[in-house]
Parts: sequence; structure tokens; C-alpha cells
Amino acid sequence: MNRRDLMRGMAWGAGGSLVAPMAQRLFAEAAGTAPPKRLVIVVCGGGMYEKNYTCTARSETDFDLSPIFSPFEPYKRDLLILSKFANPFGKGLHGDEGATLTAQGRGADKNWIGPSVDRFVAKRIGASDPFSSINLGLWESEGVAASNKADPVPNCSKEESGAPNPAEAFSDQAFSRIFSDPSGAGGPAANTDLFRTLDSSVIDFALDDVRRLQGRLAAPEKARLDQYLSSLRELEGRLVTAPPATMTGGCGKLVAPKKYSKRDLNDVVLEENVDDHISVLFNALVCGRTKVATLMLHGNDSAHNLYKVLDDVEGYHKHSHAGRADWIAKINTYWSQKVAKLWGMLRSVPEGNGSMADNTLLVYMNCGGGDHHEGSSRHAIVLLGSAGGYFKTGRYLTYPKGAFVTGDVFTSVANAVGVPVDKFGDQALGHGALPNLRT
Amino acid sequence: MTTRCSILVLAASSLCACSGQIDGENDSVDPTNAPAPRGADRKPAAAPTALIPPDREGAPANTTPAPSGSAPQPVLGTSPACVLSPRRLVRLSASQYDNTVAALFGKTGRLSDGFSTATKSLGMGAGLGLGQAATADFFEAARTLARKASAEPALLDPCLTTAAPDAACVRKVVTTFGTRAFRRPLAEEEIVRFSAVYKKGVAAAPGAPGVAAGIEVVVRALLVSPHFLLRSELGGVGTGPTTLTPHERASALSYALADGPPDDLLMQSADSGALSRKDEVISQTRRLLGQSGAPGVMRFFDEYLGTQAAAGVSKEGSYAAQFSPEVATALVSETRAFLRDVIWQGDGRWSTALSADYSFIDDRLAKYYGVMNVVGPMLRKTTLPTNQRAGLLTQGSVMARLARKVETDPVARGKFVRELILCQKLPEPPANVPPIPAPLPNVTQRQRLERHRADPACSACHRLIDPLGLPFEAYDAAGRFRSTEGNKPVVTTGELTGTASSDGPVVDAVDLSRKLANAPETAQCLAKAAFVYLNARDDMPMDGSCGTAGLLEKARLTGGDVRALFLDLVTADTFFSRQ
Repeated sequence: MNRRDLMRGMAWGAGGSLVAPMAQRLFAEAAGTAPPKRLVIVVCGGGMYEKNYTCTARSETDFDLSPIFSPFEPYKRDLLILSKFANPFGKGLHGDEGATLTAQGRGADKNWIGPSVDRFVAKRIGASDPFSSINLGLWESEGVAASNKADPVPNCSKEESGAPNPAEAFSDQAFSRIFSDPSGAGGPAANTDLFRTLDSSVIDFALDDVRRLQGRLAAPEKARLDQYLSSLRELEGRLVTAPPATMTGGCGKLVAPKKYSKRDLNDVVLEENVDDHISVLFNALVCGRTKVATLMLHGNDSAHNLYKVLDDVEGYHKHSHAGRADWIAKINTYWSQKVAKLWGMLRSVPEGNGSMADNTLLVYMNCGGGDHHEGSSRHAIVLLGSAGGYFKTGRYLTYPKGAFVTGDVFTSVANAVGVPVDKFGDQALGHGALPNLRT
Repeated sequence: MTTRCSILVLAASSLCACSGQIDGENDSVDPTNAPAPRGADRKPAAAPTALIPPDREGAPANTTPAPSGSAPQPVLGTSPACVLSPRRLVRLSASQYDNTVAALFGKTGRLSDGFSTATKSLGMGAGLGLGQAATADFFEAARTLARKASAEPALLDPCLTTAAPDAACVRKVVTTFGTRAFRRPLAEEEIVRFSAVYKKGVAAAPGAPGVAAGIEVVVRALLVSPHFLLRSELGGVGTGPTTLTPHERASALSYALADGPPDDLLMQSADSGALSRKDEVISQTRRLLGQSGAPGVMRFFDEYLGTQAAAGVSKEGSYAAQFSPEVATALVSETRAFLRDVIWQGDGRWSTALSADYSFIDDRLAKYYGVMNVVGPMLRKTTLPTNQRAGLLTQGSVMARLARKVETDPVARGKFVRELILCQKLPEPPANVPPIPAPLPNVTQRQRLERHRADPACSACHRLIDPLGLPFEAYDAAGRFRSTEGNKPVVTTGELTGTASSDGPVVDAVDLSRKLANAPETAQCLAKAAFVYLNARDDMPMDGSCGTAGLLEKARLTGGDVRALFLDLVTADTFFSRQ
């Protein structure tokens, strides 16, 4: 990671050095306690060729990274590369992202059974954070949005009820929401105390309204209101119960990302936009706005997204159908570069005796468990970070094909970040935590 | 399948036709919906062989379409298979939110422009949630609106302009504003609670600012209430089948037809209970359909055709100059003006919309279409060259959207016609079919597709798509008419297949459009799309239950009379019935 990247990610107030002041503040606040554990999930779509992700291994700790994972070379000691897991509910077709992080199928009503692992973890470790989790994706096109009316930006996040947890596609909007400072707003309630009092009254009232209405409802609609209750409580945490110091920018001054229009981003992947998403995610973690973040870099529906930075004029879909493993690898490598960049940024932020990366677990995977359009039994999942020493990293582990499911990986992931669970995802298919991962 | 609706807007897509899931699937045609055995890879789908016949999915073997000219069937009770929509709460869509707050506060601008993409949404609201982003957006919008109200209290009621409004004034404001916001009368208990919120706000800011704070907090509380953000379709108390209450009916009708809240007349009709009667529903529907172009109807067409998406289309290379953002916006306006004219000024028939020889253009579009003597920025009804354009499908907003940045996309165009205009499902793609060959100099799109179809794995899908897409090769990537592609003449022949009586070769897109206009299947497809949209459902019962048999038959007989279709849809018992 170079200085420009970091500057772009975190531009502190005048005269401030890059990261240290913020980090010191964070650590001072957390004096005497272990740093929090965090979970980051980066998902791509369209499948990955097994031959592209397979590494040359002499032993589980002595291995050469495959070309598509080569950007992780500087962080090889942080890596756990795991394969080959099944997720029979994810069929790898376009627009079929729903099962990726839930490791479950659909209910009788055809809706996905939730939650996804990010929301599962967020509810348990992020309840007191300004945002229990954040969910970012990349805008693709009006066409893709129109075919997913309630969840217009491809992503994999689902609430406990299975309801979509829609992703934010425009980093300037996500930035504004995540880092807004409502106490600076004008109007008759400009006085901070009054401002908070009124916010408090409004939220109290809405919560009361929701609870009263819930009494009348059957399960499916109750779940919709549960989502609203949960969202209101998070809002309350940010606006009302958080100490004023945090509200007024405990993170210093950040530079808002560039504003793009849909027209700018239709069917193309712009380097700067991807970097902005990563910056927003990174800053949300560093500034303590959340401990759980999900980013979808490439949706299963992103058939025509062109990677202009790679001089791509066909798109992942066409390359896949043409069997162009070289192009698939090129785009896979680009994704890995971006994930590695994020990891490098987390590595650069001191925390405790090490860095934020030491207390963060990053999960990097693809919706497809095999080649494009097919395969659900060959998922490769990359973990970065030991989650505070929970995992024994620096290893390449291939499990017998189909012997374990992605839900088993998520069981290990949840436990690693401090959320005990015996079995995540489909209970009939799951086995529990993966063997041979712990320190 | 996710909750993808039949109103599927295809982006410029040359996904192998064969790629992507096809909308409207149900368990009977999507066996892959069931989880595969543990550890098993999904097998490649068998090579598709034929279209699934329209209107017959899931139909009992003895189902016979109503004979031509027969009376529409009764709505309910004809079949035990009629599955009603569930009791539900339906979140306001972004445009409905804008229209609702405009009705409450007057000109507010489009607040939803500032919403995150996670909050913006299409459709009639089923499945829309209140997650973090949506909640934050609505919360901040309520703050903005409440500030406006507290700065101009007369907007709510003149009694608030006094230094210290009394309890009667507060009660009056809560009652009247609350009723408009919730689209129903408030219960006494609600009036008391909201009045108490006002007092709390006043108490928080002693002195003069108190009134403003009181107004702000009570307006905000109303605007973030689930009773405001969610439209109730819960019906009567208890469980089991029910019908919507008169006020729920008023909202259902109004948001469907006007894309906004009930007006005073509709509220009065609900208040009196008259909306429980079918004759009153019909009367109110006729009134709403005749009012200001029925924005809800226009919104349906926007989504059905992807019209709004055309405004975001951009082109590259030499097409960039021809297709500026201003042209894109003008093309969207053209399509909307054209549809408004056909539906409200003309015969109202979908068949006319698919084949009319005129459109609405300004001087900029005159240049785009190569038409002389249109001056000025006003859209004018103008006859277009009849050998070049006929109806909606040949309009620039459709053609440019169904194209790539610098090349046409006959596959996207063919898929659009097959799936959206004819409502015919394409088979599941075989795994890893090869892509369409890359563009080469001196090789036309038609030649590329011919090579692609030579592969049997591709032919199964493309023989159903290409003959419907290639006639549109007369329109370039920007949707402009052309007679050559590179240095070769454009060949525009194709073939309409899959219809009962309109099949046959076509010489060009104008010929195809006219044939489609005369095909009953297109009128019936529109009826299906409108049913799905208005009922906020995933699909339409294809066994003829829930009144759909009569609906389709009427569409066939009338050539898709849009006004009659919407009247029938919202006055059907299914529209107000829940289970």
C-alpha cells in the first residue's frame, strides 16, 4: 500500500499525521481491554476455476500461491486458504447470490432462509456499535436493479428473517450515512441537547408504534417490523445514546468519496470507485462505526461489467463462457489485489501490540463453487487474519471434495470472532466447526 | 428463484440468451430450486428443446381456454386453486414516498433523490424492507420535512401560529394531519399519544422555541411511524381470508393508479364506508383513471419497458455525440408522451402502442429521427417515416437501451420481445455454452449470430431469440435508423414464432411490430405484467383462477385495452382480498 492510498482512505484533520492519533485515541479508550474482533467479508460472483485457485503445496505450510492469489504474497503468514466446500443451495447461476452467506436454501415462501453470517455475527458483536454492520456493493445497471426490485444492488446479506439487507452502491452516500454528524445540523433543534432529546422522543415513539402494531401481525409481517425495530435501535445508538464526543467526529476529518451517477457506473467497473468502497469500509472499521462489514466486488449478475482498468471489452460472463481461463484469472487477480490492498491498510493501523489486522478476520470468497454457471461443491474460501490468535494461519488446506459445507467454514468464522455457535447454516448438512483450523 | 417479477427489465444484455434465470418460474418448472444432495454438483441442464407454451405452465390437463367471445369468468370461487395475496404491510416505494409527502407539505422536491440505492426501489412495494439505510433515509427526510413544517406552521394549521397553541389546537393538528399521513382516521388513543409527543417537544425547549420543537417532533413521529411508511393490507381482525378495510382500499387504489396517497374524495368514500361497495370502487377507479394521466399507470409502463433506465444509458465512440444525455432524456420524454397519448387520447389499446406511425418529438429528436419541420423544444405529435418506425419497440428509448456502448445487441432485443412482449419463457441455459463470437471487421451482427447458432448448444436458445432481434438491426447502438452496417447493407429479415395465429416471416422491425400488435399473445402478456405489478406478486396464476382467465380473454378481445385492463384489475375481488 502506498502513501496515496492511505491518504485517500484516511485524510485526517489539518496537521494530523496519518493514522497514529486516531489509533492512539482508540487504544486509550480501550485501555485495559482486549481490542475488539472484527469481521470483513468480500464476495465476488461468477465462479472461479479450480485450476486457477489451486496452489502448489508441498505441505500445508509450504506452498506457492496460485497466480490469482499472488497479491497475498506479502501477507502469506496471515492466510488460510481453504477448499473444497459444498453449498448445494448456491447454484452458481446469475442472480443467485442469496445462499452464499446463509448456507441455506429457501423456505416454503421461496424466500431465502436467513440470516447470512455477517448479520448473524453483527447482531451478536455489533449491537452496541453505531452500525451493527455495513453492506456495500457496486452499482451495475438499471436493468439489474429492476430485476431485483427490493434488493437492487447485488449482495449476499440477509436478515434473520431472510429479508434482504440491501447493499449501498454509491460510496458517497454510504460515506454520508456512516460518518454523518447530525449534531452539526441547523434548524430549531441546533442545540445539541435539544437535538438529542427530540431524536430520542421520535425514536421512542416509533419503537412504541412498531411494538403496538406487531401485536396484530402474523410471522412474515412481524419479521418486517423486526427489521425496522432493529434499524431504529441502531439509529438510536448513533443519535441518542452515543456520547457526544463520538458524534462530533472521534475519527477526525475524512474526505468524502467522489460522487458518481448511475450513468457513470453502468456496466463498468471503475478503479477509483472500487477504491472508494474499500476506503469507506476501512474507515468505518477504523473509526469504530462498525465491526462487521461486507463488500460485494462483483455480483453474479455482473455479466457485462467491463474492467476498463484491465482493458477488458468482454466482461466476466463472456470470458467464462468462452473458457478463457487467462482472462478469468486476470480478473480474479484484480479482485485479490483489492482485497490485499484492504488487508494492507488494516495491517498499517497499530492496535494493541500489533495492528488492526491481528484482530480482524477477512473472508474472501466467490458465490460460485466452481466454474461459471456450474458447481457448488468446490468453493475456495480465503481467510486473512488469525482473529486474535484463534486460527493458526499461514496454511493451505484442501478438504475432501464435498466433505464439508460452506456453513462449516462460517461456523468456524463466527466462533473465531467471538460468537459461539455449534452449527451455522443448514442444520442437516452442516457438521459444525472445521477441524484443523485452531491454534 | 428470488422474488424476481415478470416485469423484468433487461439491460443491454447479450448474456447468452441462455443465461440468467427466467422470471416467473415456479416449482413445477424449476426443479433445481430444491437443494441438491449433499456434496453433489448441480448437473448441467439438459439442452433446451422448446418453449414452454405460454399460459399453460402448471395448468391442469383439462384446463381449456375460454372460447373467443365468451363472457369473463367470475373473479372468485371459480377454482379452489386461487391463491390470494397474503395479509401484508407494503412499504412505500421511493416515488410513492415523494408523492405522499408532496400531498402533505406541498412542493418538497424529490427527497428520494437523496436516498441511498438501498432505499430506492421499484415495483409496488412488496418485499421492500426497512433496513438500516432505508430507516436512516426516512428518518432524515422526516427531519427535513418537520423543519419545514415548524418554520411554516400555517402549513399545518393557522392555530399553530400563535405563541402558545392550546390543547384543542394541538389535537386538531394531530387529528387532521395524522389522518392524512396515515391515510385513515386516528384512534383516540393515537391522538392522545401524538399530542403528548408535541408536549414533550415543547417542554424540551422552554420559551419561544418550544412551539417549533413541539411541531417538529410530532411531525417527525408521524413520518417515521410504521403506519405512515407502510401501507396496511391487513384487512379485518382474525386469521384466514379477509377483505381490505375501506381505508386500506382507498390506499390500494390510489397508490396503484395515482402512485400517491388517496385524495379527499377517496378518503370521503372510505370514511363513509362506500368503498366497500363494488359500484363505488368502479366509480372511483374511473375517476382516478381519468385524472392527470393516472401516474400509477404510467409508472407501470416505465417499469415494464424500462423507460426510466434509458435516461441513464450512455454510448461511446462515434455514438456518444449522437446520444448525449439530453437526447437520452428527450427519448424518455418521447416514450412517456406517446404512451399518454395512446392511452388517454387515443383508443387506449396496446396494439396501437406497438404499431402507431407517430410519436412525440422536439427539434432535437427530429434530428435524431431524421424528420424535417419540427421546430422548438416542445414535444409535438409527428408522423415518423413509416418504413422506419412503428410503435414503441422502434423508439429510440427502447432501441438504445437494448444495445451495447458501440454495437447493437440483437440478442437483448430478441429476448426483450420474447420474454417481455410475448411473456414466453426461454429454456434454462446449458452450462458453459460458448460466447457469441467477438466482433470482427466486415462481419455483421447477423453473421456473428449465424456462426453462434451453428453450435447446437447455442441454437436451442438462439433460434427462439435471434429471429425476433435481428429485424431491429436497422437501429444502431444509439437507436438511430441505419441501412448499412460498416460497409454492408443491413439485412432485417426475421420470423415471428410461438404465437397461435400470427407466426410467419417478417421483413423488418416495422413488419414485426405490426404482427406483434395483431397477436393476441402481446395483449395477454401486458395483462399478465399488469396483474403481477398491481398485485405486487411474483407471478400470475396460470390455471385461470383468481379471475385471470377472464382477464386474459378480455385482453385478447380488446387488443389490450389499457384503460379497461386497469379498471378490471383494481376492481377485481382479488385486488382487495387477502388470506
